[in-house]
Amino acid sequence: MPAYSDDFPWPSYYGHYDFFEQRMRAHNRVHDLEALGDGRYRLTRADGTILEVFVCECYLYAAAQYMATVEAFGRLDAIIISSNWCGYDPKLKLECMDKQVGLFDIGEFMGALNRPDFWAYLTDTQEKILREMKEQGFL
Amino acid sequence: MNEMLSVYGFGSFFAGKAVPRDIDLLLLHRSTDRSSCQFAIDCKARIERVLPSADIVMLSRSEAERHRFVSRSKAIELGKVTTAKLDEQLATIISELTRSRSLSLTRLASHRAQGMGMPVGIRPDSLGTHPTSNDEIVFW
Repeated sequence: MPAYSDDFPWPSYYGHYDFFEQRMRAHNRVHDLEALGDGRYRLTRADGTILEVFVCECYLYAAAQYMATVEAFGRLDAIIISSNWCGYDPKLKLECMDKQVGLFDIGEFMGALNRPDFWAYLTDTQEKILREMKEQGFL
Repeated sequence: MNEMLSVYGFGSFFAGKAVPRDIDLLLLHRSTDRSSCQFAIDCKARIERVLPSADIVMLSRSEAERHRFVSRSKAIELGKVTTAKLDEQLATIISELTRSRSLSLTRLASHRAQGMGMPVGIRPDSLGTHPTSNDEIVFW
């Protein structure tokens, strides 16, 4: 992990996300990907829409981390948790969906990019769990 | 509002691994409301300025419980921090972290210099040929 930086207080491999960049550039719905530094990207979709994306690594991305991210970077369209050993809180994901903000891992974001309402994309498993939670009155 | 959170340690640094990658800390805060989150963000920033190698996760109690984060990560509580005594309590926790780290390294170097066996708490696999700050660190 790199040294802490006041400007980039998230663990990452020096703010470079090669795997993410490779996957995005290979996606047929991605027209352009511009790295803005500090894990931020401007992604232009094939339909011309532009998404402000933030990529980070965090063992478990949750509410306080999201608040810190928005404080640092302002409004984002999608937040991508990049790493197999990292994840995010599902409740935060639902709250982000309400704000039309996508919270994904890289694989999920690949699927989400196929939809105009990318922020609402859920995997089959996530949809099943969400349905069950609603049926049981948890949501 | 007077906030409080608990600071936990987890990961290789606290598990006695020979070469810990970094210092993993969990800030377990009250809730996901703005005040509680902001308190955790402030604490995180203060710790990172003193411990640049710290990798800090912030979770509310309900988030941590939902993921069973404390038990799954085998996290160890290091102390509590309140708004009223934020600097003092953080300094105590950080001081204990750095002191323990120094003690372990000093003990390791001393035993090596005296040709003695391994000190208690030092794993055989930590005794490399080049003692560095990544050598065995024993906590609590």
